[in-house]
Amino acid sequence: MSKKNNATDEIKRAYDDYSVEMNKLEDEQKKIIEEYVSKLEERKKVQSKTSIKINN
Amino acid sequence: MERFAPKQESIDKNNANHIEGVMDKAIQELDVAGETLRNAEEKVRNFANSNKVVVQEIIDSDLLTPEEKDEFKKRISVVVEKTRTSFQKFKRTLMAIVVSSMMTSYSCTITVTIGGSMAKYEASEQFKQEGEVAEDLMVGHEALEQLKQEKARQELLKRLRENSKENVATILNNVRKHILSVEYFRRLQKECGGNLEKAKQAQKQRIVNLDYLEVLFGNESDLAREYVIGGLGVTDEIAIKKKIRELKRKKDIPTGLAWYDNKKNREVIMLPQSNNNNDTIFHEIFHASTRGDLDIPEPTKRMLEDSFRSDDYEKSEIERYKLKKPTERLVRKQILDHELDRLGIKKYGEKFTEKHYKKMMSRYGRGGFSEGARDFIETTRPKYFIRIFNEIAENKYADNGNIDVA
Repeated sequence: MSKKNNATDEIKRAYDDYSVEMNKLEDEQKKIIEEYVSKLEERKKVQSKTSIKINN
Repeated sequence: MERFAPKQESIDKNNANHIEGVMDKAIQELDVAGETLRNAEEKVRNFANSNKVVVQEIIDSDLLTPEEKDEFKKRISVVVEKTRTSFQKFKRTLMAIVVSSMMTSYSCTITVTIGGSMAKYEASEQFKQEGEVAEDLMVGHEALEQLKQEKARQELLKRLRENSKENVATILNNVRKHILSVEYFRRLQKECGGNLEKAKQAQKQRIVNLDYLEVLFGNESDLAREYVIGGLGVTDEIAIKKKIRELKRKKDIPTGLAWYDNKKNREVIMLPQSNNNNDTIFHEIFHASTRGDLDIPEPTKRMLEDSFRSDDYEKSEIERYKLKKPTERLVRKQILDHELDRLGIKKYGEKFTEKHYKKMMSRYGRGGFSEGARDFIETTRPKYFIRIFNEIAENKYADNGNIDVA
C-alpha cells in the first residue's frame, strides 16, 4: 500500500511541477505575442492617421 | 507449486501468488504513469495549437519588417523548444519514479521473476537521479513489458491449473466408481483368496486412500526435486541440486509422481502445473488407490513380479528396475484394462481369451495404446496375459489358487 501510494504521489507531484513549468512557458509565449500584437496595433493606428492626413 | 486437496482445507500461500501481487502493483503504477504521461503529452499539443492562428497572423502581417518577423519566429521557437524539453524531462522523471519504486520495493521478487534482464537495475539508486537515466529507462520499458508478459503467462498457467483440477476431479470420480464396481470387487475377492471380508476391507481401504488423497501441482523443479529426494533417495543438498540439473539437461523429469506420506498418513500425488495429460492423472491416481505397493495383496505382487519380462526389449537398467515394481506393473495393467475396454477389444470383467490377445497385439502393432499400456504389453511374458486377466488356477499365487488382478 505504502509503496504504491508513494510512487503514485510522486507521479502526481512531478505532474504538478510540470504543469507549473508549462504555465510559465504559456505566459512567456503570451507576453511575446502581446508585445507584437501591440506593435501591430500601434502601426495600424499610425497608418490610419497617415492615411487620414493624405485624404485631408 | 499449488496444493489441491479436494477434501481438505487448502492452500498454502505460495510464491506464484506473491509474484502475481507484486506484478499487479507494478502494473498499476505503470498505468498511473501512462495516464499521466498522456495528459502531459496533451498539454504539449495544446500549447502548440493554442496560439497558432494569432502567431500566423503576426507572421503574415505587412506591418512588420522581415527582420522583425524573424526575431518573432525565433523567440516563439525558443519557447516551443522549452516546452518540448520540459516534457522530455518530465517523461524521464516519471520513469525514474516507477522504476525506482519497483526496484526499492520489489527488487528481489522482480529479479527472480524476470531473471537477468533486471539485474541491470539492482543498483536502483541511480534511477533516482533523474535526468541521467534516459537510455537506461528504455531498458526499464522493456523490463516492464516483460513483467506484463510474465503476468499473462501466470494467468495462462492459472487457467491451465483450473482445467487440471477439473480433470483430476473427474478422473478421481471415475476411478472411485471403477473400484466400487461389481467386476472390480469380484477380482479383488480373487486377489484376496476368495475371502469376502478381506476383499471388502481392501475395497474400502482403496476408497479411503482416494478420499484422503492430496494433489500437488508443481513446476519442473518441484517434480524433479521430489523425484530426486523421494524416488532416488538423495539427501545431500548439493547432490540434490546437481541431480536436478542433470535431469533437466537430459529432459528426464517425471511427468507425475505418487508417494505415501507417513507423517500425514495419506497418499500424495504431484502433477505438472498445466497437466492436461489424462494418462498421467490416471496413472498417479491408480498408484494412490493402493498406496503404491502397500495395499497390493502379497500373491498379486508375486504374480506381477513373476510375469515380468526383463529381456528382449529396449529399456535401460533403471527403467527395468522401475517397471518391475508391483505398483508400476499394476498401474500399467489397469491402464491397459481401461484401454482394452475403451477400444472395444475387451470389456472390463469379460474373460480374456486368445482372441482378445490377438486383437490386442494387432492393435499394439499399429501403435494404438498409450505409453503405460505399451509398457505393460512389452514387459509381460506372453503366456501370463490370460492368467493375469483371468482367474489363475495356481495355488502358488493365492490361498485358494485363484487370482485375478483388479
